[in-house]
Amino acid sequence: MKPVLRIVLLAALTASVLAAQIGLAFLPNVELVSLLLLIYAIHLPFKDALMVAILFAVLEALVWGFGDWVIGYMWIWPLWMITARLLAPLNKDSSDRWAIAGGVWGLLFGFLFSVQHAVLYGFTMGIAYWLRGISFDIIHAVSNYILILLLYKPLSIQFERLYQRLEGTYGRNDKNRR
Amino acid sequence: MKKTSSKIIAVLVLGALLLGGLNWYNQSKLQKGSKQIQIVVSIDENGTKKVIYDKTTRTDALKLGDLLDELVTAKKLSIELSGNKTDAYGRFILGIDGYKITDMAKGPWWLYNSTTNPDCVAAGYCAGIDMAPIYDKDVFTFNFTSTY
Repeated sequence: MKPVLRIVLLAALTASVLAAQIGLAFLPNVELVSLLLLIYAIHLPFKDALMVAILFAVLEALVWGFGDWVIGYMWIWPLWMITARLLAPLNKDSSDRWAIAGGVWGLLFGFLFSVQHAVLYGFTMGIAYWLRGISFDIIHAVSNYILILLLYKPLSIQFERLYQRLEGTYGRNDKNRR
Repeated sequence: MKKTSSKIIAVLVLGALLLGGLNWYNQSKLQKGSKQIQIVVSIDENGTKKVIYDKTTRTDALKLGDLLDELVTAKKLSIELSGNKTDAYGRFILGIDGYKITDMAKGPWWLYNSTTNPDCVAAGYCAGIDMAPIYDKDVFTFNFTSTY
């Protein structure tokens, strides 16, 4: 894929994640970011997929303001993509399995942030942060499960189709793939 | 589709149960009563003070009178009071655990003090029980005495 096209594609995909995040921001911990990043992690060249996650974190900071959570986004979302990539051979195209993975991820999300809090502000602060957020983690897990169960397959199929068409039209660059 | 709906309902139920359980667990850990107050009751007997009650209790009461009402309701103390909360100086202690004022002119009377309550300390004396705000870690000493 031509570099210009790749830049445009990454920008558009990052914008799609940001729009999804802002669109559902009024619902605490109900988000489509996990689903979209999961799909990008599976279908895009891995470097590009990680780039989307990092650009998304940067855009989030521009929209919502800089805070310690931006550092968290910089490593937690890429970690989700790495996890998705590792689980891909096991989960294949099963909505059920990806929904479970997304649910577990939602449950762990607060814990991962609490690890960062423990490192930055001390162990007690980390534990307190995690305990205070468990109810939100449960909501995150349930909403992730439902959204991925319902939307993973149609979005994944559509994305794969569009991405292949894009490669067909503008050519592939295997160096960028995986 | 029916299978998917069942899964979604199952996960929603599981989530609701988890949230409910978490809420119940958090509530069970809450300590009822935000303030910890120590009440000491003593009587002057042959020139020495005899402590008949010394306990710390948790309460959300705003005034000392309300806390004493709680102790009476919980049957921890029996207190006889005169007057009403709405009186100019609130209620007056006539007797605690059977020790009653028999001669209002000579005493002994029930007096109380506190060396921790900021209002008592600032004023140099404690106001009537229904006018005395209570604060966390306060210690109130009630003494049945003829001297003051």
